[in-house]
Amino acid sequence: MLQGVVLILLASSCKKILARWERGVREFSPVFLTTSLDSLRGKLVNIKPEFLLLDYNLPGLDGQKDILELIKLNVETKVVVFSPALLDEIEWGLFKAGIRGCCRDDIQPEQITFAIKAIQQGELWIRRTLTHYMLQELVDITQEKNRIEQAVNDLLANLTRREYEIARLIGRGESNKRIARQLAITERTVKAHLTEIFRKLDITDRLNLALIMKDTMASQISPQSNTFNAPPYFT
Amino acid sequence: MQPITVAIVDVNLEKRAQLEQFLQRDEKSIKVLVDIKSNHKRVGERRIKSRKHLALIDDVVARVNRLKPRVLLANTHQLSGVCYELLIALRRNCPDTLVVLLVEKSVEENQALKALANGARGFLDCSSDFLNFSKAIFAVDQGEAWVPRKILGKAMDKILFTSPRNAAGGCFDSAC
Repeated sequence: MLQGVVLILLASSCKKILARWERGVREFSPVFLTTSLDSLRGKLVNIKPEFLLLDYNLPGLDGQKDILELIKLNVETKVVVFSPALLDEIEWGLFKAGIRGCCRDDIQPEQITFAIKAIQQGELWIRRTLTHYMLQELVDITQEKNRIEQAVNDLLANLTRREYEIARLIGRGESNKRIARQLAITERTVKAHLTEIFRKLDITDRLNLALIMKDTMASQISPQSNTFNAPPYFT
Repeated sequence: MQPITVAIVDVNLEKRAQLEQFLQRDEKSIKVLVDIKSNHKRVGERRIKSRKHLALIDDVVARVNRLKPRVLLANTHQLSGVCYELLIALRRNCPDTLVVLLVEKSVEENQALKALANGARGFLDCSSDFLNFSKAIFAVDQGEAWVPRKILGKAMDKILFTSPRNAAGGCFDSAC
């Protein structure tokens, strides 16, 4: 992306801070300013900036909860928070809310330029000392995801070959009619299989089944080969 | 201050000796643990990509359990299934040891993320300056990750995308 056309919104009630930030974003444009939370909300929706430089002490802003709300207003905007020294847990909480960078509020203008360029390249502007929270979270969610996948796979293992075949087709969004045609069976038989599948998986409708199968099939795609790894009885 | 204990597994023998020698120069800060019970030559010849990888994983876990290093520099030859299995086994059996992977070429983003998700604390290019190794050991000992910032960005995307309780309702980057 061209650096000259990066749309940036600066939000602080302090004129001194805004002036320093403006020096930091001099090589980017256009730059918009806002001094209140209400006006910030409106500009986030209307202007859709690529970057929001946000003063943590903006009047009315209540930490992580409000920042999460702001991010939800426009998920494409990369939010960089400028704050006094925060506790590690609080700062990490802001990253978990979705901010892409956190700087001390006395940061020099040149550093702001570096931070924006780095974030534009897909990096996070995060203190190295916070990375252990990130690694721990990554390991935890991976373990949780693996546990869920294993539990789902255990349930799916109870399905017969035909039931699994039908479940996969439901996962691809096929209708009963199309499934019946594809498998050369009657729609009534498809419905009977579905009833049995719902019972075995302890679910009540095809939407839940579709979601389960979609996740399962996605996790069975090998990233290297991009091919589907079918269960043993399909090979 | 206690020196940081470090063990090295399965680098080729020459490289491993050089690395051990280099790290031992800073003996006040880093203590290299050498497993006198293991047959270095035999282990050195067996690479982690060996077909007998399960026995090898057990072997590495047993050695790490004996030595109890704070930081383990592990040459996994390449980031593959065996590497991830080793990381999982180490995390399960030696949770206090922080594993830094020694890689012999640049790491692909997806593989790096998978290694981090399975417990790796960072990556070091075998061909890079040994000075980086000391810096990495100090940083990892402090709990920091030793990975490029871009990978951190991708790791954060993965956290936000995978964990619904954390997500702000969408993905924030093209990586999603």
